[in-house]
Amino acid sequence: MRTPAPRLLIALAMVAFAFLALPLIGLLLSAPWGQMTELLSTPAARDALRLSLVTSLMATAITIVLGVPLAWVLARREFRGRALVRGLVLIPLVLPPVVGGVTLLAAFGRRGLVGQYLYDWFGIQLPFSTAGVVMAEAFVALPFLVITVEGALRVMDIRFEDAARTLGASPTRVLLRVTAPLIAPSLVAGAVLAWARALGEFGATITFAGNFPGVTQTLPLAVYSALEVSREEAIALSVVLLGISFAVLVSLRGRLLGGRG
Amino acid sequence: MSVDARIRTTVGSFEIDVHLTCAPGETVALLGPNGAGKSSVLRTIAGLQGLDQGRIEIAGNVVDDSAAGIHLPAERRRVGFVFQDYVLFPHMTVRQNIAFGPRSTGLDASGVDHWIDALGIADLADRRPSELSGGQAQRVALARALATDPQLLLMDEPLAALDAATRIEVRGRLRHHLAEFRQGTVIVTHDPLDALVLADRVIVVENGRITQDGPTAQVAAEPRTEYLAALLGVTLIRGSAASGTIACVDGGTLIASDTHTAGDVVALVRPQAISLHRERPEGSARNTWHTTVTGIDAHGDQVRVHLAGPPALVAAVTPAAVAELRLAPGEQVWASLKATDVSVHPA
Repeated sequence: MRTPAPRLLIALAMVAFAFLALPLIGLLLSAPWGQMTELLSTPAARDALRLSLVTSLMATAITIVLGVPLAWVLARREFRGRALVRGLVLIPLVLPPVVGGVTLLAAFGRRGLVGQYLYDWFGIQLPFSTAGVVMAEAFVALPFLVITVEGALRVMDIRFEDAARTLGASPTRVLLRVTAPLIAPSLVAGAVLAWARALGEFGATITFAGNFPGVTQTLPLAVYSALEVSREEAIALSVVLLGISFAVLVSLRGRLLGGRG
Repeated sequence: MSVDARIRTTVGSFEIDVHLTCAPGETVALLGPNGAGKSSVLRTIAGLQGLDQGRIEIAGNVVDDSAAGIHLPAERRRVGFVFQDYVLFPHMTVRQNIAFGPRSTGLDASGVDHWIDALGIADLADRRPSELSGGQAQRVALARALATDPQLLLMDEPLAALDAATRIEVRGRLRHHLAEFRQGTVIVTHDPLDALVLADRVIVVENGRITQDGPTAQVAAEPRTEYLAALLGVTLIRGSAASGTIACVDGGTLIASDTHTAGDVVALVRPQAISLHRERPEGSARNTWHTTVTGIDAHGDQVRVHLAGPPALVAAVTPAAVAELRLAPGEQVWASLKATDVSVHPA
């Protein structure tokens, strides 16, 4: 039997849904469907699309390569200051992305903590480069992967690893043949979330890498720039991003829409 | 020795101090209540957890020696471990599970088929663990452990995850497989029947200490602790004996036909040996008590009647007798016990 619901509750729930749905409907209704191909094939749009795909995939790769080991250490090793490390790892989740960009400048800018030596010794300049875009995206995306994978490692029955060890498996073999397959679904989910976050990155990117077409102007930055010139182009690019978001949601529907995950 | 382990270790605030040995071909049961530290002993031998002090030798190789700073990791100990609920790798088939060990150690994979045949699981080889029954999973777990050609087999509550009917069948089959295993086997269990059926020797562990260690038949016949006596369904009474009279520690006396055993003793009384009467009994029984019923509980087709004593005793009677004697907690009743039914053992 259903519990009777207060009418006010139902009404507010409907307002909330409308609040989320109306902008999306508005976007789709105002999209210049007839000119889509045209609008998206301008050099600026194509550059932004290409740059976004390349940088977000590279950023995702970096989060996997660095994030999985970090998640493992947080889940499996006890050490002093672990709570502090975990807290720091989560900061990019709550930090305004613009501030994230400023912190990146402080560390990797030409006169930053590390950046000055990178520039003086190796001539490497990360801000306002495509590499800087990848860094900004990885910075904001990394926590998503770490918390997803760490959670999976914690929930996993450690005795699977124990069993593998008594069967003579080296730590590397345990990791690759037992741990990794068992947490694979969470790893995929974490990577997709990280990728979606990287793809949508705006604040840290524009602060740390700037907004140079073809070099650092990703899709969200292109949408922002296009708004001042051509509303149609901005909407067309937005529809592309919405499509990607929708695809991510569908691919993760089991986890995010109250399925098994 | 397949294993010779002296272990002193603290798990949380709980202290374990045991010395355990197991000869090749021997099956030893570690019997004890839940939380006695049995599983920790097993995990320590396997190298899955460390020890504070002690020395463990497996097949003559030192794998742990706190004094010398030796601690061999689990993967280099050549120990087969069967976990309580088997912990088969869910992402691998039965065959891949069994082949995991030999592949890890570079062992010849032909052993895999041998164990698949030996344990009669050929028709399950391509299944996933989720498609196996409890009994089947147990066989796969045993095959997986044995396929690494271990120097020692450790089994943690191997039958606990099974339902009662499967248990009987699997227990018999396990006994058969263990008889063929040439190395030592240590089984942790809290079920006396598992220990009695499977083990050559029983080590009783209580509160992190060994309280009894001996051949299975002897341990079964002469339990030395209240826990084990209760587990085996006999009453254990401590006291000191002199010419057949035992002054019980908790008060009262017992007359035994054994007049030779003297000093501190444990007397064992089977509940079936105690008769209950409404009136004072006349007859040959040397022990009689007029005592209070403290509790009654059903035990299969028998009823256990707890008596205040002293000494406190348990009598096993039929439900009909309970009705006839109008037994109830608080009622007075006469109890009798023949001296020949009191078995006396040096404590």
